[in-house]
This record gives sequence, C-alpha cells and structure tokens, in this order.
Amino acid sequence: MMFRVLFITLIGLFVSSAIIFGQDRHILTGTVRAKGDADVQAAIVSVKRTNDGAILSYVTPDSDGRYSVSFSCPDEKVEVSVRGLGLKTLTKQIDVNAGVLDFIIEPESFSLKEVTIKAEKIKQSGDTISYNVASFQSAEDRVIEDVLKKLPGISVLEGGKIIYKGQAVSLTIDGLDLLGGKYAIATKNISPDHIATVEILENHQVIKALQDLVPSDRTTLNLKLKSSSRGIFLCSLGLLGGYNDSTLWNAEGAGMYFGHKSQDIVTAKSNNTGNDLRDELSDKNDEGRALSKYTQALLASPPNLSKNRYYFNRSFCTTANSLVKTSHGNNLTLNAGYLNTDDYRSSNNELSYMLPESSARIINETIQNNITQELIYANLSHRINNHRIYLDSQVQLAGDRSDIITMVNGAKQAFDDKTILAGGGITLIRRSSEKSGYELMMKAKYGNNAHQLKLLSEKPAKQEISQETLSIYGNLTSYRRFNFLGMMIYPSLIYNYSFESLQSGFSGVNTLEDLPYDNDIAFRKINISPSLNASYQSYRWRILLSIPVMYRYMSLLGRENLISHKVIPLPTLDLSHVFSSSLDWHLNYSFITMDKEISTLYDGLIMRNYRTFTWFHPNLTEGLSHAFSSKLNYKDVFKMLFIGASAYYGIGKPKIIYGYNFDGINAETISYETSALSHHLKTGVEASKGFYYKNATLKATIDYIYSDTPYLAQNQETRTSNSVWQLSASLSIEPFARLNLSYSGAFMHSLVRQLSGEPLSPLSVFTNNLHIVLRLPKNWSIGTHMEHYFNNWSTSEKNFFLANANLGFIYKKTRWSLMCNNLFDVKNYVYSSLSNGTGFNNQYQIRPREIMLKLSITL
Amino acid sequence: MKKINLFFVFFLFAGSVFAQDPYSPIPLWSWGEEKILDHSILRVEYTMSFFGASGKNEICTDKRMVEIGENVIKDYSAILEEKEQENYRVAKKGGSPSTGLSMDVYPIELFCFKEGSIRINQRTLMTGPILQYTQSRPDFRWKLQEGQMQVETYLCQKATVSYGGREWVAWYTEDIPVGSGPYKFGGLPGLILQIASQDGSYKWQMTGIDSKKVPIFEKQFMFKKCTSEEARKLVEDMYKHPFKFMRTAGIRTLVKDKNGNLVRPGDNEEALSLFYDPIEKE
Repeated sequence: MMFRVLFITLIGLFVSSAIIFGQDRHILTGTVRAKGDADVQAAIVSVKRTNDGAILSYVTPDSDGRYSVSFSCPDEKVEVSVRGLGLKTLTKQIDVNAGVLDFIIEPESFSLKEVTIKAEKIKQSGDTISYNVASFQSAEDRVIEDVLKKLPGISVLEGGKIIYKGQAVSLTIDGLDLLGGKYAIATKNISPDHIATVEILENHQVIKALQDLVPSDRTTLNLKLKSSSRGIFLCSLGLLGGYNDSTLWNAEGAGMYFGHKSQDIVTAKSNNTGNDLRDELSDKNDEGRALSKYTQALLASPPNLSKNRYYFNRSFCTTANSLVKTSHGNNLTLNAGYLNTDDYRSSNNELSYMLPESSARIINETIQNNITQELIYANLSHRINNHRIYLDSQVQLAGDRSDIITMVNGAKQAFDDKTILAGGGITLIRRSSEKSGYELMMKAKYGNNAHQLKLLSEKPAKQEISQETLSIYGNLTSYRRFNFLGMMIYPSLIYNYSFESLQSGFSGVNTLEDLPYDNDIAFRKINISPSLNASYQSYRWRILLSIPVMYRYMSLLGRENLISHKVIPLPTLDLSHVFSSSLDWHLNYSFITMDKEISTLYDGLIMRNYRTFTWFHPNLTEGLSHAFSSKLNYKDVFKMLFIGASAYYGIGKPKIIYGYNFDGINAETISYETSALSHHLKTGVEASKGFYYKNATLKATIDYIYSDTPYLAQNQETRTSNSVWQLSASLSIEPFARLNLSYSGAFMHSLVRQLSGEPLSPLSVFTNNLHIVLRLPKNWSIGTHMEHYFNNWSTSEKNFFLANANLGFIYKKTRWSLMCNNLFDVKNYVYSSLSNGTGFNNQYQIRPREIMLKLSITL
Repeated sequence: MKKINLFFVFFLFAGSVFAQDPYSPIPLWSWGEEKILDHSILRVEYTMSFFGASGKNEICTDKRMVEIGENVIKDYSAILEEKEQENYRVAKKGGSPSTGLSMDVYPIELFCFKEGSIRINQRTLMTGPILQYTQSRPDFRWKLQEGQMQVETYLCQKATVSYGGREWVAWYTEDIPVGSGPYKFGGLPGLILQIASQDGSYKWQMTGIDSKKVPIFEKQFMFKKCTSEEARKLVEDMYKHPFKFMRTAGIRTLVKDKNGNLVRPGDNEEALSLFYDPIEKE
C-alpha cells in the first residue's frame, strides 16, 4: 500500500514538473522546398517574437529541406521566417503551438547595401599612432595644419604650436628634422594632398646611441608623405587682390622637394591682409629667454580675436630651408629667413590698478602705434646620428630691429631697438657598450642690444639702454647601467656661466631728484651642478630621479657690489606607469630656484614708459618653489577617443615681491622683502573623440586655475587671489555629403579677490565661432564664418558679432575664393581682461569690411 | 621569461639581413599554381586587432578579407596578399621584390569548406615552413542576447559564445542572411559584422562589404603538412623558444646588439620568448 502511494506520488510529481517546466518550450518542424534552382541549404529558418522581432531560435534545414527548431515564448504568436542569400524572404505569423510549418522558397537576386572598403582612420602599433590624413581631410583644407586641427588627440594653438597629451611636440617630415622648432613653415605650406599619414611617436628617443639606454618622454609628430609626392618638385602658389579702404594684396609661393637624400622648402610671402608671417618664423620649442626691454613704447594691447581681424600690416617674409643627407648618412641642415613688417594699432584703454584700502587707480589712454620690424636669421647644423655616435654641431646668427612711433593721448613717442644674437653648440654622445655611454655638450650664446625711448611732447625726455649677454651652458654625463635593483645609475655635471651688463642714461626733467638716473652694472652667475641620477625602466614603470647639488656664485658690480655663494640641492623626480596600452599615468616633482636676473638688480632710475620709472634695491636673494604635476592619459585608437586629466600645484617662497607706487597716474616700481608664500593650482580635463559617423571630431576641455600670491601696492604688502574657470569645445562634422560644419566655443569666468582694497567684479567671457561650407555641384561652394563674443565687463554692447562670407570654386589644381570679411563693417572691438591686481577695458580698432579674390594653386 | 623587444635579425648564407617578428612575415614572390576553389558571392573586409609579440603594450591591426563563396569561405590578410601579388609582378619583370611589410599582419589564411572542414595555412618565423593542417568546423553554441547595435549601415543583434577558452561577443545582421564571419566564426542567422573577445585580446570589425565575384584561390606553396595538434605545439614552441625554433628550421640566427653589431644570441637564447596568446587558448 505504502509503495503504491509513493509510486503514484512520484508519478504525479514527475508529470506536474514536466507540465511546469515544459509549458513555454515549443517545437516547430517542417520542410523547406525549393522552386527553381534555389538552394534549401542556403536558407535559415528563424523564429522571432512578434512585438520586437528578436530572434528566439534558428536552424538551417538539412539537405532534404527538413528542419526542427525548438523555442521558448510566453506569447501566443510567433513570426517564422526563411531567409537566405539569393532567396526570397518568406515570413509567416503562427500560433506558438502550431507544431508544423512548411515553406516553398524561390530564388531572388540579392541586393546588398555595400559599405565602401576603406582605410582605418587611426591605428596604433606600439608607441606609434598613425592618422590616415585622407579620412580627416575635407575639400576646404588648404594646408596640412587645417587637417591637424581636426585630429583627435592633437591640438594646434594660435600661431601653429602643436600639442599632444598636453606636451609640445617636435616635427619631422619623413623622419627628417628639416625645420627644427620653425615647423610652421611646413604645416602652413604643405598641402594635405601630399601627406599619407600623420604619425605620433610617443616616448621617441631620437638619439639612436641612447636607444634602450636612456628613456625619453619626447613626442615627435612625423608627416609621412605619399610615395607619389616624394622625389618630385612640389609647389603651392597663392595670389589675392582686394579692397577695404585701400588696395589689398596677398602673394605667396612655396617650393618644396622631399627626396631620399635631401629635403628643401623655400617660401616667399607678402600681404597686407592681416596674415601674421612671424608665426612661421617663430621657434615653437625654444624655451630660451629673450633679451629684456627696460624701456618700451606703450603699445595698444591686442585683443583675443583671430589676428587677421585686427592686424593692420604690410609684411614680407622669405625663408630657405635645406637638408642634405651625406653618403655616410649624416645630415647637414641650413635654415635662413628674413621678415619685414609694418603694423598699425589703435585702441582706447581703461586700466584699473587695485590699490589697498582705497579705490582702484584708473588710467585712461588713447594709443596709436606704427611699428616697423625687421628680422633676419641663419642656422647651420650638422648631425651624425647612428647607434654608436651622436654628434650635433650648430651655429646660429640672428638680428632684429624695430622702430615704433607711438601717440599716447596725442603726445608723440619714438622707440627704436636693435639686437644681434650669435650662438653655437656641440653635443657629442658616444655609446661605448650595451650598458654604457657618455655625453659631452656645450652651448654658447652672445647677445648685444641697444634700445631707446624718446618722448617728443612738451616735456621731452630720452631713455637710452645698452646691454650685452654671454651665456655658456654645458653638461657632462656618464651613462652606465649598474645592476642595482635593475636601475641605471649615472653621474652628470651641469655647468653654466652667464654674464649680463646694463648701461642706461636718461635725459629730461628729473622728478625724483634724490635718485640716480643712470646705470652701469655687470652681473655674473656661475652654476656648477654635480648630479647623481637614477633611472629605472620596466614593462610598466619608468622612473627618473635626479639629485643635483648646485653651487651658485653670483656677483653684481655697480654702485653697490654684491657677492653671493650658495649650495642647494635641487631634486627632480619623473615617474610614469603604463597600466595598459590605453592608460598611462605620470607624476613629476621638482624643487626650483627663482633665478635672479639683471632686470631686477639695477638701482638707477629707468623710464619704463612715459608714466612709469623703475628701480630696485639690488638684492641677490632668490625665491624657492616646489612644483608637483600629475597627468593621467587614456586613449582608445579604435574608438578614436583621447582623454587626459592633469593637475599642477606649486608652492613658492618668492622672498622679494615687486609692485607699483602711484603718484597720480605716474608710478615707480618698488620691491619688498617678504616671508609670505605663493600658491598656484591648475587642474583640467581634455577629451577628444573622432567618429566614423559623418566624419565628425569632437574636442572639449575644462580647466580651473587658482593662484594666491603676495602683492605689493603703494608700499603695502597684501594678498591677491585669482580663480579662473575655462571651458572650451569644438566640433567638426559633415552632416550631409555637401555640408561641412565646424564650431568652436569657449567660456571663461574669472574672479580676482584682494585681501584689502576694492574688489573687482567677476569677468565672464563667452566666444562662439561657426564655419559653414555648402558644397554645390560642379565644384562650387559657399561658406560663412560667424563669430560671437560676450563680455560682461564691456561698458558698451556686451555682445559682439562678426561675419565673413565666401564663394569658392575648384578647377583641377586651382582654387578660387571670393571673400567678404567683416560683413557688418564693425569698426572696433570692445573687450576686458582681468589679472592679479589689474583690470583692463579696451576698445581696439579692427579691420573694416574687405572684399577679396584669391587664387591658390597646388602642384 | 624575458620578452624579446621584437628585433630579430637573421642572416642567410646569401648575406641578406631582415628585421623580423611573427606578425611581420616575409612577403613571398614565388609559388605554384593558384588553385581556384570557388568564386565569391560576397567579400567582407574586417579590421582585426590583436596584441603583438611584445605583449599587451603593442596593438597590431591587420586588414582581413573574407571571401564568401557557395562552397568555400576564405579568410586572409589583404595586406600580405597585396604585397605578395606586387612582389610576384616585380619578380616577373626581373626586379627585386620587397621583403618587408609596412604593417603587422596575422599570418594565417583559412579555407572553410561547406562539408564542414577547415584548412589552415600558417606562416612561421622568417623562412620557416608554412604549416598546413585541417580541422573540423567548430559547433558554436551561440546564445542569442537582447541588444541591438548599428555597425556601419547595418542593424545588428547580439550573440555570445564560449569558444577556445575565451568568451566572445558577436554582432550579426539578419539583413545579410549568411551564417559566416571572420576566422572560424559562423553559425548565426546572419553575417557577423563585429566580434571581440571579452578580455580585449582580439577584435574584428567590419569595414567594408561588396558583392564582387572574384576567384577564391589558394596559392600552392611547399606546405609542411601536419595535424592541428602538431601545428599547435610547433607554434607554441616558436613563440616560447624562437631561437630554438629557427635553429630547428635550419635558420642561422644573429641578433643586433645595441651598437648595431650582429652577434649570436648567446646564453640568453633559451631565456628569450615572444608574447604568446593564440586566438584559441584551449
């Protein structure tokens, strides 16, 4: 009896569980028969949900066309379809419990939505990222710089400096360094039609003798030419004629040759259309200090607009650049250039100096400048770079001259300035074995400058300055890899000698009679820094620690003679960790001294400008500062996504602070010893993303900058803090085949606070730029460029608009453009700026409406 | 085991010197007939990304072409094929063929036959043999998943599968009702347009499709025929002991020292290896 009950119970449980678990499982069987020559084995039978078409199950029939498919579905109906390449699709809606369904299929020609087989936009191989130029290029891009601006991860600053991961890059063409830091000659003249790929080479050790011995954090951007553009003469020409209130011209030509054994670029340009030719001649990687100007003509401060909006110029520039590879693989490079430019500026300024315990000191000035500048330079270098020896020898010569006629509130001033620079250097690196090598380097630079300012008003005055500088910099390093925890430990010796002299004389009405009005001083500085360095490099880590102990000797000879000796350690630490090929992190710490310059050591009065005299209590005390910076970089080249986050914090002890002491609008520069600390913070995130969709590139940055520093005003020490938020974004997209849009916008909010005195209200600036190009049939195009600026400090209109229009036509290798700039014929731009202790309102004259016709030819 | 920084140099009796790694095979210029196996109905181009021989800090990308015929599907490197065809033309005119590739490639070609077998031709290091072996087409147990994604102009659905010791996510489109894809992948109710291993080691992304009818051919090299197990062992050995492999293959090997001199690998020979992470770990 018990067994019977148990048996019935088990049977009952089995049946009920089968009902419970099997209630949504259905089986559909049937046959697929062919009509004509359709292949039943090419068919796929799919069972789908009716509401969203999601496939529940699928099967391929056997060779006889029989199929059986099981599926689960809570609904009452399902959709069953038969598809196949070359078969007509059949779809039927059936009850889930139908059980059997047969199909008869027919052949049908297959229509494919073809996807053009194309090259990848970006690819990565090791530390090299390659951008396919054609994938980012549009018909409107005239020079390679136009394409570089659109590449995700790369930024091009106004003036042409190229930045990758927040770091300046050096540029090569087909791996050869033809131009050094003056690479804008290439980026502003080479057509993107000649470039196949743009390569970013990270951690690029250019010196072959140091490869695998000394890590490098240098980034090189290489322009890789198309093979069809190598070994032939390339040429680009441009000719423009136009009219605003006078005749306008712009003529430019560039001839280029990029061969296996030599590279050459020759350019000649002239314009009065606002194109600043100095951008091409400036060294983008030169951190060197220019010679100080002790007296200056008061200049109208240019606004934060594109320079061709406000630059009233007449410029001429020519350059010649040649690199020859010798039969031994050595490079001989010659770069020479000449620039002549006239520039007219006009503005009405209102300058507010924040003074403690009183209202701001406000100075109103109407300024007109006529500036003439000439610049000439020649560099010759010879470089041997192989796995055993690196020998780089260079000679540089440069001279510049400028004359400025200035009218300030109707009073005339004349300024002229002449400088000659000569320099040279030699670097020898020899690799003696796999684990060792040494470096000897010496560079010398000589500068001679004379400048003077004449006031040609009712109270005439003349300030004359002459100065000489000589600096010698050298370094001896022994690279030897010791097997101590896998590190390379190597000593180095850095030495530096500098000599600066300053003579000044003033003639005119002396207002501060108890002080001398002349200077004849000489300042010598000798630094000797033996250093112990340790570097460690592994699969994921790279660490470089340097501990130089610097001996510094300074002597000042003048009315008062001062001598200083000092020994101070100046450690630096660089640390990098590579989490993956996409993510890396960097940390840097350095302890630095705020070097003393002769420009703050003279005690005779110098007329800085018509309303300011400067002099200092000579003091060889130097400030000290700790600087910390960190960067986190993420890149996914397949998604064309680049993200970088960075933070910088510096805490310093300036020991001496400088400020103005006002008497009416006249001021004298004063200095003051302090024990106060200064703090600087900068943090930001930068992101850029490229899309295959509509050929779009999106870039965005956000930065926060804060400083809190001691500040001297009217002989009183106070503190001032400045906090700035900056946001910017840009988008370039081709929403339709014939439409190209690019937008860039920026927002800045700045607030200056002072411990005492009258605070300045916050400054908010918002700018928008929009380019639209519509490509019409038969190679015609129309375009417009609109600019909007908002400035809450403006005393007149807070919103400001500018617009250009353009009609273009491309015929074979020629481009024609009919342009109208400044359509609304706006005469002045009103803007404001804010910095520690100073507010600035400015009404600046901009270029009027201009009609121009331009022809460009690329061969 | 220490990883080589991917800079081998080998020295032939003829005196030629080449830089090499397994993903940069020497493009050849002579072979027997080009045996036509089928004609394509569809050609699908994929970008394939994978880690190079230095490890996970080196991402390589190959351009793979999958030619789909009625009876045969061929998957090969378009970069290597293009270079070899160019070499063939150059050599025929009496010129010097190029022995280098501008990009890394995945050095195998596959022929998937309708009856269910797969023939694989695999290059080895330098002038090592070209292995040829046959396998059965795997039975993929796909799990159809919720989720849709647009790949180029095609709406795709998601499916996952566990295969070769890795988890794979595939996106297929019903709009192209062919149960094929790159490598050995297939068996879904539509063409696979994107597939990636969840550990990030391998990814194929469709970059082009056309319906050109071209012959699907196999170049008849002097293959070293072997079983798939033998091939697997040989290739694993090649990555883990590259110098030993080359010595076995009759290749005299020299490495470049830091001064650019060619020297014998020396005592480190056995300690040097290449990053080995095959598509199928099991």
